[in-house]
Amino acid sequence: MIRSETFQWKIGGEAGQGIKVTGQMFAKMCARHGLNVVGYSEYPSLIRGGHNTYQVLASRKMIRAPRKPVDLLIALTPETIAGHFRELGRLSTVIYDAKQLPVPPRQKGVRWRAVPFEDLAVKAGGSKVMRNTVALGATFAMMGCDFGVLKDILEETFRSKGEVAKINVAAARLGFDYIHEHYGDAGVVCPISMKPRKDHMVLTGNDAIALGAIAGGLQAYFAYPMTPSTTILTALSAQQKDYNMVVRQCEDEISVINEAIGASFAGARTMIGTSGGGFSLMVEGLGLAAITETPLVIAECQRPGPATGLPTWTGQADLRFAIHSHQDEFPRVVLTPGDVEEAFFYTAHALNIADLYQVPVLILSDKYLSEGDWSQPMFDASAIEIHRGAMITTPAKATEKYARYLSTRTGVSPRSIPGVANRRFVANSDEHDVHGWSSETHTDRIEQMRKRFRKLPGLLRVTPNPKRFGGATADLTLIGWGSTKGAMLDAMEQLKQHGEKVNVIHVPCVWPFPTPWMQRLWDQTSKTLLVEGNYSGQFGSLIAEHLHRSPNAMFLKYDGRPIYPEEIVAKARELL
Amino acid sequence: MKTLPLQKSSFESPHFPTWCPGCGDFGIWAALKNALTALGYSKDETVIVYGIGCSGNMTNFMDVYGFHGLHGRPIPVATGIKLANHKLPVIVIAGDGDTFGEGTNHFLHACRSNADITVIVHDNQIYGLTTGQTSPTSEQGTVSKTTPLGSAERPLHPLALALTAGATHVSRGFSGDIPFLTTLFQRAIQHKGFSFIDVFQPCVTFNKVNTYAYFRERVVKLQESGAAAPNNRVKALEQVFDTEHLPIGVFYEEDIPAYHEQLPQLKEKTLLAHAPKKRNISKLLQQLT
Repeated sequence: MIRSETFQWKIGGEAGQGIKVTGQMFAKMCARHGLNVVGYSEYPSLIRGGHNTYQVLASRKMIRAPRKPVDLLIALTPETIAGHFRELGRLSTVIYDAKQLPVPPRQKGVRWRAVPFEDLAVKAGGSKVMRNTVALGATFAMMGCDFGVLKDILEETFRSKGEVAKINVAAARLGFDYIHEHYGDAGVVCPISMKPRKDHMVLTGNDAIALGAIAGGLQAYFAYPMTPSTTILTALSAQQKDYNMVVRQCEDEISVINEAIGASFAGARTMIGTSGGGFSLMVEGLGLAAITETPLVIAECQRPGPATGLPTWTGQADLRFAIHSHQDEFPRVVLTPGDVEEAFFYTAHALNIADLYQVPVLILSDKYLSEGDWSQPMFDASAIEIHRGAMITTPAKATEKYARYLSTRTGVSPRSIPGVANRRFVANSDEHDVHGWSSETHTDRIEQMRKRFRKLPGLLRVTPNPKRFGGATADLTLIGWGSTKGAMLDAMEQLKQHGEKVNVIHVPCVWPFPTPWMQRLWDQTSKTLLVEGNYSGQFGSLIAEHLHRSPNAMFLKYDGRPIYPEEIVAKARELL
Repeated sequence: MKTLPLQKSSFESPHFPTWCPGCGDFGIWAALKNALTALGYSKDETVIVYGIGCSGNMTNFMDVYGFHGLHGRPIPVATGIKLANHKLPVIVIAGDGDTFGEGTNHFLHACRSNADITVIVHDNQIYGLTTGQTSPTSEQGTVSKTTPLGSAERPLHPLALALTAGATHVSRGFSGDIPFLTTLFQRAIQHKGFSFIDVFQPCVTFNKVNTYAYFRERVVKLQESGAAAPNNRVKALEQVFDTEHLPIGVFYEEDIPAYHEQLPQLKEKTLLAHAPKKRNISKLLQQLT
């Protein structure tokens, strides 16, 4: 039996059949046994029915993005087979319930393994919904794994649900035994070498953002539920008591941003979260934060639009929106983490940047990063520091003439908070003078505009720079920002394995646009391929604007699906 | 919190009001300063959040910690401030356009959540600062720049909205009766929970219907009219629809926990007082393995 290094498992069924829970259990189990995992789910915008999938790419090697080809497909519904047979190859296996699909379609090389999911679930004393657990048991048998591993994770997942845990274990056992009894050794189709391993986490991008915020000293979080940002709100809600945070769901996104600005003005370290449509409603408040110089961090988890768009799918089409939104002009930061590690550390960093520079800081994620499950060595959060910047809480003498919006060399002026004696000021949505009093004079206007923009050089220094991976010289350079990092790196590795000289430039902060670093990196490229998830190549237009250059080609995807490494490889081959 | 003696002149800013002479805003401004003085709140401890309009221009005329927000949005800003530091009195100064046009959703939800803030609405039934359009509280038939044929819509009823949305302190005043308004402000600010006070505020420049004379003919004190029912929400609702008179006074008040009082993390300390120097999340990271 040849043990494989990498394989992809995928389960499909209807909403309400426990597809996601099953998938996440499987991902976690793999991670506990020395495999790196990438979990990716697809689901439509409904609660019951429809077609949901969850796929886990597992490997002993480093993997950073899901792939299309499926090695083991678990079909809880006929739609799963119809919908995904194109992803199957000559060595793929499909486990399905013969009750649902008496005659499987013909496909060269694909192995069909009928397992009576429903009957076994009922036999175990459970309901139909436990078909997914039976399927998980069958999976483990097919991977040549020890049942004990699955038993542990089932007991852990259903720990708080009493009898349910026992029945799930029984159901899984039946599925496991069925494969061994009916298919013997031929049942082990995806043998993979597994060794127990501790200290690897499996987490979503939103888990990373929530944890990064808590580690970074978050005190108040406001949000309105909107896919794919909602799980930040639920994660923080669960921790509000332990970490003494106020976590609040407001009536709408306009209230979210205004309440957040109020809390921050009064001295609380504050963040909000939403998706593109919610951010549209927050845009009015963005400028309020900017003109009052109230620190604010905004997590914007992108999904395709316009309008309601594709609520449960992914995209990278809010780039220009994030950079330009709101009337008139002011400095802001737009961070674009490429993976869960960057999402974690940059969120903590964002809270510092916001406080240090008293500007709005956006963190752009997307459904693919936010809701995907990614394995990762345990974060070392010990180095995370909480900096409140120039916030003063000590009283002034009555004779001192404190000026909140004093025009300083750095553009940042010390900020007091309500309650501090003799440091009163007005935070004003109107243009204002150094004390915050509304002012329409041309001198006050010029002074305050220049003061706000004077923060830019500092922001450029404190934000993460574009990074090159894979060596300084290459025939082709892949360029991208945000969550395409993993797919580009995996594509680069695949191309290198075939002798191609390829490297990657990833941009983890798109604004302020890192012109000097991009220029330097660009100058060392020969051919360039821009990879991003929007229709018009928005980052490409930023390159044109700031570097006066164009990439040789662009791979643009806007169908709501992630960018797969093999797609990048195919496009790259056209250029090499 | 009390730091007597204070004078109402303590709140004076370097800016003299730009309101039209005779504007009802002057009466509200005076009553507010009187009330804060009587309650003993210092300039440093008082937070006022202003909306946009002539009323919002009070921003420049009060020397306190001020927040001049966006049109329609002072209420959520005030809610956020209170959550960060619930020891401070947080007062909203807004207009009928802010509260019953642009920001009505925020008003209703602040009533229902019982946010511990005091919302004072300068209700002049017109849009003054934008030079004379109808407002959501203008009477049907009002002729204005945008309704030359007379407004086709009926007005919202601020007190009724507050009562049905669950506000725990609902009152109404008249800017032409400063002493009474002062006592109403004191009661509203002291009330623990959401306080709403609608103030009749004649706009001498753009509203030629709801004038001082108009109000003097109709305004009557609730207690005097014998109709006060401050503990009965439904009875209070009946009273607000009184078309013969325009009663002023406290229509309704009840004592239930404010929003922030229901958060266990704010029981002992303010959110600010909990500010961490460092956070330990090892337990949370471990749970992900």
